[in-house]
Amino acid sequence: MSGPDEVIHQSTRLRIVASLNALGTKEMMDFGQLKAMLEVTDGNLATHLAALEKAEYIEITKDFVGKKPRTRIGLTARGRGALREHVTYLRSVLDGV
Amino acid sequence: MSISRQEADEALKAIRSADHRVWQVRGYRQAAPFLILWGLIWVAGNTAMDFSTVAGNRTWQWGSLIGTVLTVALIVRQILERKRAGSPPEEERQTSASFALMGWTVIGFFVAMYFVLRPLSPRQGNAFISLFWAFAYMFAGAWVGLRLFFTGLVAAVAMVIGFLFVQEHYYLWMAAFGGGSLIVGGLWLRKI
Repeated sequence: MSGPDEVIHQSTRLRIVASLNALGTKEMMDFGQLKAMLEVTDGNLATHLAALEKAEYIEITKDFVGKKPRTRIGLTARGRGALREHVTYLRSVLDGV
Repeated sequence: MSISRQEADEALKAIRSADHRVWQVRGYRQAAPFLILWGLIWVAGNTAMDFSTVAGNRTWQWGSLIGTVLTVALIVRQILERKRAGSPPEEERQTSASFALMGWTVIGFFVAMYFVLRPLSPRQGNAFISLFWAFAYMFAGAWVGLRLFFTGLVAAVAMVIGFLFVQEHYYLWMAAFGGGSLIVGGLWLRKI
C-alpha cells in the first residue's frame, strides 16, 4: 500500500468510520447518537458525513419515527474495506515496513 | 502523502477508542431495561413487605416469576436484534461469550453461598440477595463502564446503610433506595 486513505485519515472522519465499523454489517447509528459519542457539533458532523458519503464509504437514510425525523448512518462494504486497508497502512508505518 | 510513526500510533489509538466507546454504549443500552425491570420489582416487593409479610412474600414470588420471564424475553430480543444487525466482529463474539460465562459463574457462586450460609432472618435474606445483585452490577460495570459501576455502588451503599441503621421501615428504605437507584441508573444508562 502506497499511502494513507486521504478521506479517512482526517481525525473526525477516522473516528466516524471506526465507530460505524464497530456496528454489525447491517446496523446503522442515529445521527444524534453519533454526535454525542464523537462530541462534535451538528454542522461539523454533517460536513464530514457529506465527504464520506461522496466517497461512498457511508450511506445515510432519512425517515420518520412517528412525526419525528430520523437520520441514520451506516458503513458501506467499501467503507469497511477502506478502513481495513488504512489500518494495515498505519501498522506498516509503526512496524517501519 | 505520508504520515509519521506518532501520527500512525495516534490514529490506531483513536480507532481502538471509538470501537470501545460503541461497545460501551451498546452495553449500557442492553443493561438499562434489566435495571429498570428489576428496580420496579424491588420497589413493588419491598413496599408490599413493609405493609405485610404475607403480601410481601406473594409480591416477591410473582415479581420474581414475571421478572424472570421478561428477562428471558429481553435476552432473546437482544440476541435477535444483534443477528438482524449482521455478524459482529469475532473479537466481540468472544468477549460476549466470556462475559456470559463470567456472569453464570458469579450467579453459581451466589446460589452455592446462599445454601451454604443460609441467611438467618427474612431481613438478612433480603439484604443478601439485594447486595449480591448490586455488586453484580458493579462487577459488570468495572468491565462495561463507570455508569453501570456507580449505579451498583449507590444501590449497595444504600442497602448497607438501610440494613445497619434503618429499623422500623427497613423494607420501605430498600424499595426507595435499592429499587429506586436501579430505576434511576437504568434511565441514566439510556441517556446516551
